[in-house]
Amino acid sequence: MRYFLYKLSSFITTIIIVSMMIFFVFQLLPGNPAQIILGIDADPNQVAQLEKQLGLDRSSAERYMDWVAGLLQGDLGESLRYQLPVSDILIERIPVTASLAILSIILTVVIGVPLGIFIAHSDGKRVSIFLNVLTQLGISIPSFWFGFILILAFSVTLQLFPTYGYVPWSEDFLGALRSFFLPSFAIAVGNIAIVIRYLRNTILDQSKMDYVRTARVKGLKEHSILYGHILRNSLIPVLTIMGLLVADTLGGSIIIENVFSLPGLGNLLIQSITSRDFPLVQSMVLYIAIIVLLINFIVDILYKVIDPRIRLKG
Amino acid sequence: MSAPILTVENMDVSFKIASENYKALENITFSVYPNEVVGIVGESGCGKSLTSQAILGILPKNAIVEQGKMKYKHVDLRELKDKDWRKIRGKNISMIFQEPMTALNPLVTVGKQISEGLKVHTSYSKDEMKKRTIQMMEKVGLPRAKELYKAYPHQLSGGMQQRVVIAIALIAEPDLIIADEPTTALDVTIQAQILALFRKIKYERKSSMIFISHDWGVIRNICDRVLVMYAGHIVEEGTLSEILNNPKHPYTKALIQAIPDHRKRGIELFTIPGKVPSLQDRKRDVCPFADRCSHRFDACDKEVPKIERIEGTHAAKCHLYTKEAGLHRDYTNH
Amino acid sequence: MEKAKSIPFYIGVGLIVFLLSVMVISIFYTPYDPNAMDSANRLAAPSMEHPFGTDNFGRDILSRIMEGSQTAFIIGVSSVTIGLIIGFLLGAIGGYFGGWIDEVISRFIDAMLAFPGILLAIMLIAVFSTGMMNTIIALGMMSIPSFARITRSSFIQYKEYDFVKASIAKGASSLRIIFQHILPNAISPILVAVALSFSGAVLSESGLSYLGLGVQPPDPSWGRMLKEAQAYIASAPWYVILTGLAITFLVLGFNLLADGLRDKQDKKA
Repeated sequence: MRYFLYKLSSFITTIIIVSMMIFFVFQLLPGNPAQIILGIDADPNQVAQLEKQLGLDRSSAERYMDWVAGLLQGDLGESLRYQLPVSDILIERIPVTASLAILSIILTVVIGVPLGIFIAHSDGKRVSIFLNVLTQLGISIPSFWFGFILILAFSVTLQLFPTYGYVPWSEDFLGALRSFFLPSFAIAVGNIAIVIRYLRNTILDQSKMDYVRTARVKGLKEHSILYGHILRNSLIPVLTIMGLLVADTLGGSIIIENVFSLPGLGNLLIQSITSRDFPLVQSMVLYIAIIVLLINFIVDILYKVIDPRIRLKG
Repeated sequence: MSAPILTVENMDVSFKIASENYKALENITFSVYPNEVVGIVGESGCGKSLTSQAILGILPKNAIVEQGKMKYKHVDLRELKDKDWRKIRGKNISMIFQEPMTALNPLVTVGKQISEGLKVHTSYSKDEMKKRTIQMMEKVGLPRAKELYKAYPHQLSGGMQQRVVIAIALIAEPDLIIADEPTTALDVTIQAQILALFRKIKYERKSSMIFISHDWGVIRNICDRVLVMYAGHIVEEGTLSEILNNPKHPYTKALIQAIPDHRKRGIELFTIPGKVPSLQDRKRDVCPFADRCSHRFDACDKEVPKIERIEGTHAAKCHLYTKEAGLHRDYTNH
Repeated sequence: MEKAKSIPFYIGVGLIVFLLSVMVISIFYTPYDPNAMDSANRLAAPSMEHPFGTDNFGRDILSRIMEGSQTAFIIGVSSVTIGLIIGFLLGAIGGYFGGWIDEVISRFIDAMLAFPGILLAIMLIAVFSTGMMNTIIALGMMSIPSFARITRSSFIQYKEYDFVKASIAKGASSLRIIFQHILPNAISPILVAVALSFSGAVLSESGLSYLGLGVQPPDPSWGRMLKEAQAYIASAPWYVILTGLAITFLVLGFNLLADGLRDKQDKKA
């Protein structure tokens, strides 16, 4: 409980600092923000009006408080380009990014964990060097380029998946799955490599533990030792990097959505930067950062709940 | 005397370090008979644990049994395949480790860890396994066994953890138990309790044990016969009283002299000068103890002494007692 | 066995040395002028004349990839330098002095880590606009947290060591303790972080430039080449493949280097 409160308080403090950082950075827009947004040859009346809308006639502290107060009520401000509340725009985009992220995490776990276990078995020197380089390659490939390669292989050549575009889940479940599969896989490839490397290392470390010797001396099969003993101890550390992987996935989706023209948050973010829709950019950046912090917070708590050494402590 | 449960004959074990072979155990020969507790003593690094690992086929990856015989009853242990090893381990020979905290899996309940031995070696029903596990937990002195069945190791004290490790070793009713320094990691008061448990096991269960320790207090409490090991050799063996009251090998004598004792209060405790040579520093074809021995003479640097029977079961591996060298030498008693 | 384990490390060093030589050569020589257009010879497949083919303006892709390596190395070196200096200072101050300063710095680092992937860089570029210089600054900022964390933990760790405690007790000055005792021991984990940040910077730059938020023309960039190549993925797949391979190999080189350095460091410990 004390741990939970500690984590909760640091979660909230970090959100506050992140929001201040973001707000501060956007205060650094050189020159008159209203002028920049509207362009040099804008109508002065329009500029004045926008200045008022942005609250430029008040102090930074006041504006920050307004922004935070708005955020707490679910009001993320208003987009300049769409002339719509930011929250309305985000709600349309979130399902796309969420689908992409969830599918990508599922792929990471479903492919990464079994491969990690399988590879931990093969401790031959040559094989392990080969795998070492191969997984490093997985980490080194730019995900958007890997997306191109997937398009080239599966859409252009084999014509198994659509190249671009998005089908909503409600319209056509299989179609949606097909449209999300390649981009999710492109994001997942680096994370799969990370999970494989990490899991293999923890399994090899755990195999040297005394409890493994105890299990062997009982007469257990190697198979039962791995699944009944080593794996439990190896998966808990893997859980700790899940938060990191989710953050990577969200970061990756910013680019990948643009490769596959998926109308998600990443796609919107780049569009709003290009169209200088700063209120939208500012709120989106904070929104994505909060999601990352929230997931890390949940992983921290989950980790403690799963590990009996910590769960049952007092 | 009945047939031995375990026979080890002329066993050599080597480590391969950087493509170089280092002999860690040399010419190990001993037997364990039914209902007998054999102690193995010696400083750390003498090969006590390695001997027990060789018997159970759990040597480190870079160690191999180079030659010799190892037999459990009529089973040739050196011929066993993995599958056959699994039938022996836990069921016929089991092992108890030094560090109870690390010997137990932190993420598996105590009850499950103990009952696993029944799961692999018997075909009892689930309820029967649980019943027997709880009975075994009570036998090794774990209180509130039903509650502890679902506990995780970290919820137990060190002494209780060691009782769990002992229960794991006993659950499939093996007739040979190897205990590798089972009390070393425990507090003194807990040590005494665990030792009492071992004595209870010895008298009630009538199983044989190999009891590895560097602590004479422990050895004297439980063992019938003792093997003294030095630098990979068994340098002396005999009954407990032969070894304690009439040690022959200079190493054994020194070890016994170094036992702290209330009668020696005020006198500076004897220590053996030098230390056990590391694997890479061991000389071949000379007496392994020569460098630290106060009785060293020319024969010691010429060849490894053969084990020489003193009388009955008492034997020592020292040139002072070999026919070729020792008998021609004027050796006055020390 | 030791040698065999170092094979990936040498592959990494080999890749880096190879691409570094390509970069140096490209300063003095490229097969063609990277910007010379040849409208008669657009999207030509690899041939003896153009080993990597030509792009949609008929420019020689090999020459453009060679020239792009300059940008990759400049971005890598400069942003790592920025991140290293600021991150090292923050981590050293926090780790050495502890207390509230450390608390503030740690919270700040945590906050920076809340920005996934290249989001932090994207935000900075959104505000300060695109271009080589701003890309370098944004990527430098992005690599601050990893340097700060590593430096901080080295400082905390070595401050507890007896030989450091002894010099503190002897009244040695803080700077002297830092330079004589802590710094030499902190070097190897920092070197690993340098290699990793370098590969991270190259990867992020390609992503930013692909999104149109990084390096702008006329500065050459592999990421922007990929953006152009994407439209011709079906008609000129070599354009996409070869450009991406250049990025992958440079990133892989530094990742393998980092991994090898970490292995050596673990062995020493």
